Amino acid sequence: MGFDGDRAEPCTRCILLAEIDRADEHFRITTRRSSDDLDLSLQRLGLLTAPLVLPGIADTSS
Amino acid sequence: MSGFRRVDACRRLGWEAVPARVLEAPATMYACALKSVGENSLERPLNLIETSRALRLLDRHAPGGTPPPEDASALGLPTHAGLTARLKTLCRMPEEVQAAVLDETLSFAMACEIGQLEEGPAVAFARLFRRLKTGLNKQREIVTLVSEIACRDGIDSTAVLSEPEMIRVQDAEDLDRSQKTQSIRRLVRRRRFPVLTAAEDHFHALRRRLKLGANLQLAPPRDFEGTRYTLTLSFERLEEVERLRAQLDALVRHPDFKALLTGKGRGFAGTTDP
Repeated sequence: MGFDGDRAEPCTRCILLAEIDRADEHFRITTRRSSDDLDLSLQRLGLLTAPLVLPGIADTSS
Repeated sequence: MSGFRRVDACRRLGWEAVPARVLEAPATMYACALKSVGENSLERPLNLIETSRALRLLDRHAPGGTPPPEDASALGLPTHAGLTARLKTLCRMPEEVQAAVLDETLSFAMACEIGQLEEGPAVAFARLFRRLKTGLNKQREIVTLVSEIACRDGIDSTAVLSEPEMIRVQDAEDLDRSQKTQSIRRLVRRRRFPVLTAAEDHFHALRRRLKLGANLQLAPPRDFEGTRYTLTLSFERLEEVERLRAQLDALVRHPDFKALLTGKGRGFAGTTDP
């Protein structure tokens, strides 16, 4: 790793899905698009690994 | 940043909010890139396109434009300079080429080759190979011959692949993929080497007229380049050798055999009429 900023740790908090900009694919790696296979596990087990997000303009300005 | 599919599924299920890991400022863009790649590459094997995207993403945000090899290595990404250079081209290729790589109808090696072509021909080849699902060597043969035809005739490879006969074979409902591949290889070979394929056809017609049978095989000069023919005799018993000797005697006197031996210079043309 280059420097400490590269080791930034995320903090977990509850956010509204509507606030997540799904159109921003700048950091997208995954080629698979379909997510149908996740429905059952989400319904029965919940969200096991929280998505990783960057704060948006509204967040950073506050 | 990471978890697009999870977010989509949660939305579809009608959830309003989810726990999310928020990477707070002042995370650098490079830190975000590292996290984003690691979230995927350390969880599961990346496919070729994902590896390509990961390498590009690190390049884009690395201080100085080049990520330390230790970072790529820690993320489970390839570090060999030649390999990574080729991998990085994949995610810049046309969508259809990337799709062919993803469904494994186009190998990495072949994708790199057709990725160097203009977008039109690259897409046309990818589309063709996704339909044919043929192996690397046959793909390479088709690309080479079609490109040579296009270069010789001053047209685009797409035009060669769109010729009526090519389209007819591709769309033929009575042919399976293997038969289509064989027909297309024959078509492009005929188109690339018209004189040679005509000579081969004439030779085969002449040879059929000799009625050699199963125990006597006559092979043309290799690639029709040399002047020496090969006769192969197949036998198990002495009587068979006797019969073959008689057959050879008859062959030497056969006018078509003489025509065959002397006709190479004119591509065996004019010697096949019954």
